[in-house]
Parts: sequence; structure tokens; C-alpha cells
Amino acid sequence: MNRSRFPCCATLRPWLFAAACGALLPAVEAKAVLGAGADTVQTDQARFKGVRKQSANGTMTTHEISLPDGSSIKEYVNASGIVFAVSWRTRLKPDLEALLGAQYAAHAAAQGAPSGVAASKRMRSIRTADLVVHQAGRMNAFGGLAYVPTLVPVGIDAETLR
Amino acid sequence: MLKPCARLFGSVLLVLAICAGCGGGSSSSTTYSGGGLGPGSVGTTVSLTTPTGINTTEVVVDSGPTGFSLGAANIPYVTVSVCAINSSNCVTIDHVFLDTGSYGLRVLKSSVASLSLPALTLAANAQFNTPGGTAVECYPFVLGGIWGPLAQADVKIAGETASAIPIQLIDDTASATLAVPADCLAAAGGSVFNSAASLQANGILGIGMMPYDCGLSCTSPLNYAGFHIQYYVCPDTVTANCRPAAVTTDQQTQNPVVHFVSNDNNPQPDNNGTILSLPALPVLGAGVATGRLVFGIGTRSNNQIAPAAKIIMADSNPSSPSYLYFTTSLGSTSFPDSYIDSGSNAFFFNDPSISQACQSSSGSATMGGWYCPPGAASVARNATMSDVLGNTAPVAFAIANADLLFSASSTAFSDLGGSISQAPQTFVWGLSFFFGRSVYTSIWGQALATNGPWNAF
Repeated sequence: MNRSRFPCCATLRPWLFAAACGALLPAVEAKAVLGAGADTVQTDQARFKGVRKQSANGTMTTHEISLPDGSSIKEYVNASGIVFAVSWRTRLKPDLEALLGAQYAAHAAAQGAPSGVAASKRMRSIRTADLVVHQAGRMNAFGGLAYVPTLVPVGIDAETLR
Repeated sequence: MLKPCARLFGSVLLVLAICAGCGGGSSSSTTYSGGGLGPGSVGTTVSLTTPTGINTTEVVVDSGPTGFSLGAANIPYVTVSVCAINSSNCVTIDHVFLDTGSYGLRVLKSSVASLSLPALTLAANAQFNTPGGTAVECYPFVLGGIWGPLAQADVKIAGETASAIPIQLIDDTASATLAVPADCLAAAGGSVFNSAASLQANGILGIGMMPYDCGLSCTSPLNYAGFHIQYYVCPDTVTANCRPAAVTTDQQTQNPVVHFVSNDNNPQPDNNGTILSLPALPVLGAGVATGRLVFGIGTRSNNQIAPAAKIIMADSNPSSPSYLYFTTSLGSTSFPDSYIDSGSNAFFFNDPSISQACQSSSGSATMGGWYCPPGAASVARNATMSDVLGNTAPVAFAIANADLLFSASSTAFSDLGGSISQAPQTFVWGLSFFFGRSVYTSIWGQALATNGPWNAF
């Protein structure tokens, strides 16, 4: 008996609807930010309408975007000026397509493989050589981390970013 | 075969009890039943039958409703009645997933079609330039989501009634009234749950620590910038005409418990939290486990908080990275994103010293999976929960070999665990934790001797 998989067979038809109804929602603006230049942090700040705080510690610079409801998005920039990781603690579920930028396609592709513990709807993860994405939590307390392993500065354990 | 009959009988009794309280006149009630136990559910039944009373109902952990053919593990279900407002016109729904990690009642639209429930309508909003129409919600889980309109209904469980509250109707009809918007599909990661099979249940009863399911973030559509849209207003049946909506907290899907009034007019309403009591289980689990869901904390004699109970607060500072979490320590490892959740079906935490070399039950090593310590012996662990106020609670638990557990024709396990090594700061005290305990879940903002949000056990 397979108890480990959460069935997801109901989704094919709605994707067709999505194609038909894509005009409903505001288009995603310029693709920020993971794997792109540090200037895209400001794109995200404008998109989230948040306040940005910046701190540096030698091998990386951390930009934290804080929102009035307490939500926070952190973007981590390496010495080459590239965003190598993004983490979030938010009330609403963040739009990963905007947050992951060009990396989102890889995320979407890897999502097809169900997790072995998918009977919980409260955690989700993908791990490939080029992209790691962890998502966890529940309504009002979504959290997650995405990073590009090859861009992580030496001496930083990306898994501990929070 | 005893158990299905017993449960069906229980449903009939519940219907009779509800109708007995409805005064004179004719009444109609139907039972929407998911049927009996699936073939996987042979084995022992372990039952906890107390406490009893008007504010209590049975919780069953079994193989789930008909339509979910894979067999469920560690999913708690209750029976809920949904009624037209202020009427005895009710539908009783079994196998509703009892979830302390979400807020609000969500049921399949087809199951309550006979009630013709009024839609929750929103007025046109000049400030945000949105039309009037029906409130429709895209409720996001980390994995998957639920799409459907809000309706107003009376919700009755045991001898408690929440009158005229917003609930979500999961659109499971053959031709959905409103196609799922692209942003909702993206929020759900492509997995929109719209059937008993995909939900593993006939609905979800969210009785977590919040009184409603979104809060202030959904009171302005401008807040959705950068996030997925949770509430829409739809003026007609064309999805393209739906707009991100402003909904007050009162218009959001409501935690029914907050609105409960008991039909014995207890001086204090049982509206400030819940207690979930499940029996201790044998090592290899139980075919079926039954326990009790109790409404109210300290509101009457059967729900007083035990003197020895340990309270662990959830962090209530929205600006804290640990908001709504507490910390678990296991050896030298700290898990700052810890929570207690009947809606997760095992202990989920990362412990590299426990083997994940399962043979039959889970995915690949890179994706994480169940724990399978070698042999028949369980692995014992001692953890400590701690909160922002300095409260601590030691918890001893065990992890058994998942292959062994799943070969035993059981559906309820107190020693099932898995790794979410992918999210190393997370420790989910899922349903495995609830067996052999009474777990209290307070509701934030409600009157309590100790203000929420907290769990106790």
C-alpha cells in the first residue's frame, strides 16, 4: 500500500484553464532576483512595498525587506554582486515565480517529483545540483529558503540561512 | 465489521440529537457518508471514550473516506453537520479532516448542494475599484491549495453551534462554476484539491490558534503585491472578471469554535480552544483509533486544564522570525520552527542518525522520506520544547521502522516519523505526538486563564 504520496492527479485540466485565464492577474514584472544582480533587490523592494535594511559580513551582504504586517524577505548577495539565496517569513504565501526569477522554471520542473513525506501539506522541498528550495509552514507563518549552490560563498552554510 | 456499523449508527444518533434541539416543525436531514472502512483497515481498534458531554465528539483515525484508495495513515477525522442558517435543514458529513494547523471549515460543494446555502457577497469597493460579487478563496497550503466560493451556514458539531459563519465550498462539481485562476494554480503548485480523493477527506475542519484564516493581510488587495492572492470578488461566473478583494476578518473563513454556543446554555461558551485526546497505541499501531475532541478550555467541568499540563506558547510577535513557532531541542540540535499539528501525519524532523533506508514506503533519499531504523526495535529520543517566555517541556518519543508499521495493516501510529532534512529548522509534532495525550490548542484573542496562542499537553 502506498501511503506516502499525496495524489495530485486533479491538476491537469485546471492548467488549461490557467492558460485561458492568464489575463486575469497582473503580469509578473521584471524577473528578480535569485541568481541575478544585486540591483534586482530594489525591484523586489518596490514590488513588496517594503522597507529595506542592509548588512554586510565579509563574504556576503544581506538585504532584509520588511513589510507592515511583519513579513520579511531576505536576499543574500555574494562578493560578485549576485543574489545567491533568498529566504522568507511571511503571512501570505509568496509568489515564487517572482522571487526565484529565472530559476523558477527549474523549480517548477523539479516539483513534479513528489516528496516521500508528502502526506503532510505543510512542507515541500526540491534539491538539484543547481537549485535548492525549501518551503514549510502554514497560513500566517509561511517560511522558506531558496539558493543556488554554485553561487554560495565559501564558508557559508546556506542551509542555516533563515 | 463492527466498527463501520458503530460509526454509521453514531452519525444517525448525531442527526437525531441535532434535530431534537431544533424545536417543532418538520425537519430534513441527510447523511453524506464516505462509506465504511477500506480494505486496509483490518486490525485492532483502540478506543478512548472519555470525556463525554455535550461539548465533545468522536475523533476517528482510519483509512479515510471512500474515494481515497491509497489508504490514509495518521489522519484524524470528525463528523460535522452543515445547516442552512437558523434551520433544521442539515447535511451530516463524515470523515472531515481535523486540522489544528488551519482555520475554518471547508467542505465539498456537492455535499451541501441540497442546502442552497447563501453565498457570502462583497459590496463594490470604490477605494480599490472592485465590483460587488461573491467572495471566492484560494486557500494555500505549502503543497497544494483549495479553490472555491464562501457561503454562510450554521456549523454544528456535538452539541455546539456556530451560527451563520462563512465556510468555504470546495468546487468539486463536474463543471466547476468558476475556473481556477492562474495565480491560484501557481499558489497551489498545480495541485488544487477538489475531491475526496485528493483531499483524503470529505472536508477540512481547521480549529487552530487563529479565529479566522488570513487576518489583516487580506483586508486590502494591495497587500497581495509579491504574494499569491487569497481572496477574490467574482461578479459573475467568468474567472477573468474576478478581482483581488478586500475582506474584513469577519468576512474570512472562520474558525467555527470561536462562534460556538452550546445548546445547554453553559454560562461560558466553549469558544476559546479545543482538546484533542487520542489513546496510547501498541508498538505496531492500530487498525483504527478513536478518541475525543473537546470544545472549550476551562469552560466547564470536563475541559479543565490538568494541573500537570505544560503550556508552550507560540511566538506572538509578528515581526519575529519565529512568529507562531516555538523551539525544540534534540541533543545539540535546535529547531526554531517547531509546531504541534494534527494536520501533519507524523513527527517530521531531521536526525541524520536515524536510517531512512526504507524499502517500500517512501521516496528517494534526496527527497527525504520516512524513518526506517533497522530491525524491530524503535529508536528512543528525548526532546525539549521551549518558548519565548522560558517555559520548557520535556518530550520522550520513539521512531519505529515505517516499513514494519505499514506492513501491519494499521492506520494509526504513535511512532511514525520522517525527515524533512530539506528544511532543517523545522520540527513538526504531527499526529504521532497526540496519541496517549490530551493536547490543548488555545485560540488567540479568546478569553482564557492564560492568553493564547499556546498549546498544552
